[in-house]
Amino acid sequence: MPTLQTIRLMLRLVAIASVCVALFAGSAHAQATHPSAHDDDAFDVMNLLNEKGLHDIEHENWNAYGQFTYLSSWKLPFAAPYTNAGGANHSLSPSYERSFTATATLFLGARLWPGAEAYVVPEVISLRALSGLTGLGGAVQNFELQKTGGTAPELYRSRAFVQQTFELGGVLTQKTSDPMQLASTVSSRRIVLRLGNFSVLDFMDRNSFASDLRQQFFSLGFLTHASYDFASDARGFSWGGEAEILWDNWALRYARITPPKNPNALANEMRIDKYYGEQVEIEHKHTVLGRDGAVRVLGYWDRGRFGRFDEALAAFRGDPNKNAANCGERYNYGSSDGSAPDLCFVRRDTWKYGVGVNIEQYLTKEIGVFARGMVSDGHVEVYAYMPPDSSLSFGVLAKGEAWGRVRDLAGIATGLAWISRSHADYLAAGGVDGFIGDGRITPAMESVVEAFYSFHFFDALWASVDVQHISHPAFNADRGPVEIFGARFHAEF
Amino acid sequence: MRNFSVIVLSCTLCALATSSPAQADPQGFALERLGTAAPGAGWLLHDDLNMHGGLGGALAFTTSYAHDPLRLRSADGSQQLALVEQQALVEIGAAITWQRLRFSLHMASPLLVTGQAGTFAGTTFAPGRHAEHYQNCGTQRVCANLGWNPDTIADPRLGVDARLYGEPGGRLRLGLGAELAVPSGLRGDYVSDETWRGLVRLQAAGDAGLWTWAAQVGGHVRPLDDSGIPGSPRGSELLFGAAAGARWLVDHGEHAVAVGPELRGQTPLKSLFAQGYTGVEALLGARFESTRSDGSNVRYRAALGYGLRPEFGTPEWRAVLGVEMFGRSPGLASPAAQR
Repeated sequence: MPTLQTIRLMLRLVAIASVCVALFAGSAHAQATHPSAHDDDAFDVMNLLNEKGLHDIEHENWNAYGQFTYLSSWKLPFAAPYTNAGGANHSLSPSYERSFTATATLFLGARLWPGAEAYVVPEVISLRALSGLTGLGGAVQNFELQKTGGTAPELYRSRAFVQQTFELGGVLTQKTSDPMQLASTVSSRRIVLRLGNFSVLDFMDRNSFASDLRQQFFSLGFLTHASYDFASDARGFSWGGEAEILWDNWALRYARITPPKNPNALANEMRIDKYYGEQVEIEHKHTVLGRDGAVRVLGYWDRGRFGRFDEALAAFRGDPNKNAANCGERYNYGSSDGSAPDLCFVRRDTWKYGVGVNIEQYLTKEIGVFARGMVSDGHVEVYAYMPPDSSLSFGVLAKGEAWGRVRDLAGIATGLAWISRSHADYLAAGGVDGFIGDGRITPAMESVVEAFYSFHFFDALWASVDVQHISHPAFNADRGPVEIFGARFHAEF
Repeated sequence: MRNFSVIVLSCTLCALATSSPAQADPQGFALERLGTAAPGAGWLLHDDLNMHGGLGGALAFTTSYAHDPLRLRSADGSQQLALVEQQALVEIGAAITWQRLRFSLHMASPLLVTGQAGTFAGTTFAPGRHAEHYQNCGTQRVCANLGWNPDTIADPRLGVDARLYGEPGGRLRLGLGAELAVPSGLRGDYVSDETWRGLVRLQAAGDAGLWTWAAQVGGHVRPLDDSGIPGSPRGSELLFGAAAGARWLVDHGEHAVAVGPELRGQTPLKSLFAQGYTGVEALLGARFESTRSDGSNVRYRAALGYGLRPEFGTPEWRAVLGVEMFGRSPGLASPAAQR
């Protein structure tokens, strides 16, 4: 339960956000922010070809875009009475640390036949996480970090899928040329089917102000619901199918995708008939006082070989030999604590599920707010995303035209996350999950407050600075708070 | 001084002997030697060197299945080990043409690579080392698939080809090409050398009425040398190949059908054309080309291959299917002008 202190913090954040809104709302000369798409007059290869008469950017048979992002984080030393107590191995180091990611991506798209499009997205990444990507629950400071990889650049295919659109009528609208989107005219009522290798976040739980984090917030807590344990491999991608029906202002989406073979591992479980993640989202776009907004409700359920926290505890209490040091060849997270329970003994075919709401609303033409909240079942270990069992995030994003810098962005947001009682009991007994486990715990809400400013310069380059304040890392009131400063360089072409 | 030189020489020879690749643990290598040509290049393996005019481009999607691309055989055939028994790849390629130049990118991903573990000629080819590998693949040496390798891009190739002599559609065209293979993927899956590799090639092509042909000879520069490990390549290689066929225009040139064989091979520079290290493969291919009113063209292709000398990378047989979209920027050329 939130303490008085956290409620005060939340109120303070709301007040700060309100002040920001009030300040920015005074300027009404900017255009609406939509960072995930390329602006019509932005510098990129396709616009360049179009300007020279070499490409029809309104009716495309192909397109190609690219991006490069370098993000560096500096974590200051913080107070911690204990770290990795009793042989646990998932604490955030209290010492100074630096983390970075560098990614380069090529987005290739081609039209196969009328209504059919194919996309392939190769990507290369080099990364170093704080404390081996352990010790933070829903507040991992850099959204680009993956559960695999290292400083040596690694090339992989992030997406390869085909998409078929069936027109159902309605108003004709122009789809712009963008990464993973060929420009064409489509009707407002249509069915879109996708099959292949993609991230479910490419199509679900989108949010204009907290989705394209290469332009927006740095923290993984704002990419989607922190407690949305969507099926995916260790990089966040899956195989499967997605279908959506778009009907004017409504959209209904469904996806069935592959989970990892083992929790948080790269290998995929391809028996999608037996193990899978399913999700359904319903979206409604609206206008309030002339400003666009949207509401999305998302439900998910995963079928896989998961471990329940209460069963791990019961197994250990029933037989102390079923401790973390005795997992042998069973899949576990490397803890050597012989006095702690472990999920490796209790994984079996079971379910994990959750439901959440995602809201976005423009307040002025250049300022928007967002909020996400989700509750997951809380009994089952983190399988593919992050440990929180419930989460809430909200924030404000503003475009810089008001102060004469059209493509600058500024934002402030907070993310709150909780774990369930059984999850906390398991951690208190010395257990570890995929990311957290200090060996001991005084359970508390983990929170992150983040503010960033992104400077646009030349034609398609951005340099950003960022600060994050994380309270109760890994849901442990005994440790922290943690201050992390960040910088990002981003290029699009 | 002379004694010192003898000692140094002896030590050097000892060092070379002890560091000989023959002593290395067999770890695998980039097995595939098909070497598909750049998208839009006409042939499956050879470039027709017909690039010309303004900006053009092509995207290709090719799948291939190879049976026994790495089967070790003793001289008398009494001992065999199918190190890689099946190999299915999907390859996505993109190319841009400008005047006489073609720039290309190939990205291949393994759909399925399976093979046996065992001992051959005193060398043990052990199964995968991880407990999870045993759990899922048993005693197999290789079991790459979409589950285990959900996103591998195996040694992508960046290439450039240039037409240096001759005109598009002429009897003789000459060109030079080069490719750089970027290390990506695992040696253990037989999809990568895990080192940079390069290819250079001298190319020729021509057309005479119904008939069309192409040929190439080149070098494959690869630092990895597994000499001494049975069935493994020995450093850099000489590449060679030729193609010939007939091409018919139908429907007033809106469609075209081409049929013809292609031959390719590789042999190590260390032991040119030596038995056991030289692979030669013949493919019989057909392609159907169609123009679209919007200026983009599509080409479907199919080929069946047979290993004339089925050494590493040259399977006993192979099947290839592909689809390719190619075209020109609007207003620059009529679609039929580009093949």
